[in-house]
Amino acid sequence: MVGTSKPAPLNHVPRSMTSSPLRVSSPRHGCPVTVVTAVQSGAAPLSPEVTQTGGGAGMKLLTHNLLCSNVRGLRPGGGFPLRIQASDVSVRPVPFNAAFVARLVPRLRWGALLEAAESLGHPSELPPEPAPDYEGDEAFLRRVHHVLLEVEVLEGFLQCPDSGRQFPISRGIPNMLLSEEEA
Amino acid sequence: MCIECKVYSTTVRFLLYIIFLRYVFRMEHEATQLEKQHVHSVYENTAAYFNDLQSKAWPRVRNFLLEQKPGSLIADIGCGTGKYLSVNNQVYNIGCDYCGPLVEIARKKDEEVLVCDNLNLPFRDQCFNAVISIGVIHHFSTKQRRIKAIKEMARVLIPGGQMMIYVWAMEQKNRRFEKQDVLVPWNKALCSRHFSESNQSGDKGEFVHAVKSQDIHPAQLVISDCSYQTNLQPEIDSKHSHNMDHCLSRACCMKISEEENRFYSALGRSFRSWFFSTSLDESALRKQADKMKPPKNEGDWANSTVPIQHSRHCSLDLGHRGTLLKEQSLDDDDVFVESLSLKKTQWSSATDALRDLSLNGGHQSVAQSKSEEASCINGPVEDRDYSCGCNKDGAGKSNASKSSFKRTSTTDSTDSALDSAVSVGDQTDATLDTKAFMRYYHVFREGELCSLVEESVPELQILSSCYDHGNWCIIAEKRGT
Repeated sequence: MVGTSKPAPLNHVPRSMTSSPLRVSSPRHGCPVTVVTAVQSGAAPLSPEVTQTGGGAGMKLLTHNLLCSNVRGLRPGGGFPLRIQASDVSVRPVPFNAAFVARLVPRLRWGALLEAAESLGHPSELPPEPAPDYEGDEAFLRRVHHVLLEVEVLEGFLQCPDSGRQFPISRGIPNMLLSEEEA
Repeated sequence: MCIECKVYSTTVRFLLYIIFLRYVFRMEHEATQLEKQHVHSVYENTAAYFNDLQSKAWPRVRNFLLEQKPGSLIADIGCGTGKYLSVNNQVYNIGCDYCGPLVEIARKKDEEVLVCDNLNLPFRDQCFNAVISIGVIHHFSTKQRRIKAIKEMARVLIPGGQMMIYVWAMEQKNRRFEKQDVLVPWNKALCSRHFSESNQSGDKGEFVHAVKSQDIHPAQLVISDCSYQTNLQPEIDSKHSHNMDHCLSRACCMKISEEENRFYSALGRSFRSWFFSTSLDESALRKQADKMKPPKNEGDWANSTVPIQHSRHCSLDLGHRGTLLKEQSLDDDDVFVESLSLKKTQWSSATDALRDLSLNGGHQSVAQSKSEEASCINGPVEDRDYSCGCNKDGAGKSNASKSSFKRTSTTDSTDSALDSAVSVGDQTDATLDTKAFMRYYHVFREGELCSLVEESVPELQILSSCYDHGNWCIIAEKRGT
């Protein structure tokens, strides 16, 4: 099975349920977990750990792609990309808009996006670089759409690669405030 | 020069430099302290009330956002509860704010938000197509911090990207701020939730509507929650003696714990030495009485919102002593004159107060201007939500209010206010349980924002600038290709 790192689960999530956010809790040992994605991608086997909750919104990977550490005294570029350590990830369908996604692609730091998707257990099936004709490639755009906008980090940390400083994400809100000493 | 002299002058220069550095650091520290006390903590504590407000997006800001190309990345720096984040769904909006509780509210509305500091944005360079800063940088207490805030926003803009900034203007239609650096009490009465409680109109968020339905003077309504609750008529308050009884309560809006007084005195002194014409001044509290209707029941008052105070401060900074910017009659003078230092000693000095009052002249009629202001606060963008659309009404009412307030205002003599102030000082903390949320603003003069950008943020080119309902607004573009 593509993208799964766990044995096939026992139950499928019915399509009717995919409109609600699915909460995925990472197992204690930190193995990434596959998640049922939105209707467009079709139903896929769910791991037993998936719980369906009301779930609030979380930090999207598009936001993460723009974030960098603002700690003082970093090497140039040393604050990007932030490493995600997520303890609570949710997936929520978002209406797909091909033109919208196509315009976002050139703005992205592609490597950071792939890395982030991997770290959340969404090996994104994306190529190392966008193909030159990406704008017309709907399948590609849908995969980009999925990782950018449908995967949300509700709880966890964003870690500065250079300084190791951890910025918490609580209830889907990253807190990038530095203390007075750090600022 | 001989060796001794050389050594001496070098040492002196070195010491002066050290002292200068210490002042600079202390200045920065005090600036952050001021903002912590009078911006951040106020927003944190009042965030719950913002939730209920039917905040309207300003039309110009809306248009700016709607004009952005689909697929754009847009940042709202200082987004508060995120009302601008849902204006244009063809773009990707990120909001950020220093205030966690406000950001939580935005998050619940499913907006993409984070908590951060405008002075140190956690975004990589040149990643946004557009940035908006609506009613934010007027909360920074020094020019350097305001510049830094704008520079940070310019940093995250792509070349050719545009930025829109809204700040509260010093020049207001019906009044003038006495100073550029002011503390404005947060008025719970402006919040819709409060309205539905106190007005019993069940109407949320429509200030004007509430006023109409209750047929109560806008100024009264806004100014004093307590008066509203007790349904006092203006005439009642004209009695000096009544004021005497309740001045205490009025005055206790101003949080004057000993510690704060010391803090403010020190702060005032420090700032006075560092700032010039727009510095934060030491001050005595000006009497508020004309605006504040004393509550019958002190208990009620204690639970009520903080009325808008019109404290006047002695202008101690250079060159602006006693200067009042007036383009209209005294009657229309501005009420937002608050300044920092709530010196207890000054409060208890009746002579000072009297002198202040006499200097102030007709500032008692601040009530009158307040009547328009209260209902039609052409204030910072966030407050204007409350007063949206009420200008007409305010204007309509102003004449009526003027007369009634003139009557009323004479009642609130400084004497009574001061006497009350004195007595407040004697009160135990137990009675001063009303927290006075005073928000710090640096209101901008005409052209000040433009000059700031032109002089200190060369990476931005100003495209347009205008005055919009009591705010100065600029749109600037990041230079480069």
